[in-house]
Amino acid sequence: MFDINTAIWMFPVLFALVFLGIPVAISLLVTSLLFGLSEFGGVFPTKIHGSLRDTSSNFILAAIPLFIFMGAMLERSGIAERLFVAVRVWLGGIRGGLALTTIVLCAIFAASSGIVGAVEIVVGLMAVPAMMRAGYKKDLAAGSVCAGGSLGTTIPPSVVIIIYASIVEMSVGDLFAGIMIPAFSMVAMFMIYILGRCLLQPDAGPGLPSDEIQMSLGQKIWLGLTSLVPALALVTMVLGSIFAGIASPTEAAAVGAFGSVVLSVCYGRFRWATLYEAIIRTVKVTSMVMMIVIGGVMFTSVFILVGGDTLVEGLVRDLELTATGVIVMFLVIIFILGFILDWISVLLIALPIFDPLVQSFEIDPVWFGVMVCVALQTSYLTPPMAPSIFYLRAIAPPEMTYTDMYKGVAPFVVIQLLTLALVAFVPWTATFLPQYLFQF
Amino acid sequence: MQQALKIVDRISLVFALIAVALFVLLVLDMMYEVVARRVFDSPTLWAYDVAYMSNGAIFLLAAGYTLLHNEHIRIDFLSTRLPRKAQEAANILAYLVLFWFLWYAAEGTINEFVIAYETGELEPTSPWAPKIWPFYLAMMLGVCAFFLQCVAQCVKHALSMMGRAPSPLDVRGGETRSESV
Repeated sequence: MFDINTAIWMFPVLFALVFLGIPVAISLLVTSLLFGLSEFGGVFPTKIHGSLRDTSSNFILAAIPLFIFMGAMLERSGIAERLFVAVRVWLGGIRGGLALTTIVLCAIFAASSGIVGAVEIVVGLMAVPAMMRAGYKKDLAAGSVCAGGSLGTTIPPSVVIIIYASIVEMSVGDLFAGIMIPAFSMVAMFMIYILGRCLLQPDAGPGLPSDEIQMSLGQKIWLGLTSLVPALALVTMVLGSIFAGIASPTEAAAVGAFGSVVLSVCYGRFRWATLYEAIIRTVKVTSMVMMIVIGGVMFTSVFILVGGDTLVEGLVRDLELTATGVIVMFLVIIFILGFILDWISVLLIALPIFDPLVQSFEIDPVWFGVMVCVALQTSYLTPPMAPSIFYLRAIAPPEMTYTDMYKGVAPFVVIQLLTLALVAFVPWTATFLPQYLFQF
Repeated sequence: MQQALKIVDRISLVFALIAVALFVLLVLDMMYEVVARRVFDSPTLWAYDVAYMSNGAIFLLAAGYTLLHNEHIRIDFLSTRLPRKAQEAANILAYLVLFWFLWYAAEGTINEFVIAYETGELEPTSPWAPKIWPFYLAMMLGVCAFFLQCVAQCVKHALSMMGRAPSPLDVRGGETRSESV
């Protein structure tokens, strides 16, 4: 077997700290300090400072607060409530319509912000009571809200992709473009599942009685125009300017951030206090994300310094892994880590260790990146560490139990894995758009 | 002691407010660049530098405040089953090692700032080539304020073990707990 060296001991130490409830960022820093000092003594401190400065002066990462803010502002802008009504009048009448409305709404939000996070709460606050009243099966209601909430990690712009791109030093635009087809296939499959389930089991998601969504066609169109058009315009502006190569992701994000404020002014929801809340929320979430990035950067650089790279290479050689083997192993690791860790930590711990292998096997970086991001999305739904479920718990009525939620998310996790399989077996789905858009 | 803790919390808040101001700067800076380049066809030399520097300063300056509000993700599905005292003790131990780390980080950022200030060092890659010390100053302040808040949190854990103060673990800071993004 391969040589076991110091590097491998970093993981038990890290996991012990993490599961003792120490903040993840601090666990990463403490582990890297202990191993860095024991191997390198006095030289190590200069390394600390270098990682700190490099991470703080990364221009791509400056898109993170901007995309977080976009979400925080939109969530407070009143657009969610408007969109919910607008989409519901079109879809509410059919079986499973409210669940479909939830997915559509979350997809729109995911496409206009870097994180979904609290948007799930905003949508859930409207959708969950509505579905319960309409007599939905609890697991379907829970599953569709959670699955919707998880979309923010894949549908661009997304913070996951920005961090991914900055770790492996590839273009954010390529990854954004690459994940478009898989992400929307996933949304389509979510919707097909909901429709199919309600077809086979009509009482799972009854349609709303027509008098509840009675509205003249003129009203319907007006509501649709005033809610969908501004949201889609914002999305087009942000993603469009990246895909057209007009603006860097950071610039596009600033335009989006500004646009989200304009939108809230237009809907008459703008208050200085709201703006302040959104910004303070933004700096806190940014700080939380970036501290994990710094911790992760330190952790993996120490891991490699103490011999982690030879450890991984030795493992790959001894197991006689091929390119496919490496991909499968990596995706399985991500999927499993996703149960117990948040996605930022999963990405930062695993990716820098595997990236050299991916490069040495000459695996297409866009294709690989897209698969990783889809696999990471499952971490949002897989318990016990499932942010989607935490959010839902905060707003769910007491009669909706954890069992309902776990049962509810299971089919959606399966769909995410199907999407992963789709990308794996048809690499074209990931590579076509970037080649088409950036062929010059 | 309580008074000292309050002062540290106040410092964290002030730095978070500076981060808020820098965020506004970041948005306006990038908007200006987009308009200047796309509409007036005259890109600025400085927008890129201002953007990355603001971002670096934002998250470091807000790090202490984020800690105060218990918003750095914890994976707590196992630890919450331990006795409370054990959880507090684990946090105290982790902080003690972290201080060591932060000591080096503070030393490094202070040195870097002092040298950059005294020699008038310029940003190495930028065509605008501004003086770099304000950015290093922000990094230094961020790291030091985070250090202070870590000390304060450690003291709070100790006080809470002695039953003399509410536990920092009970702070519910918005929805970032077990979060997210």
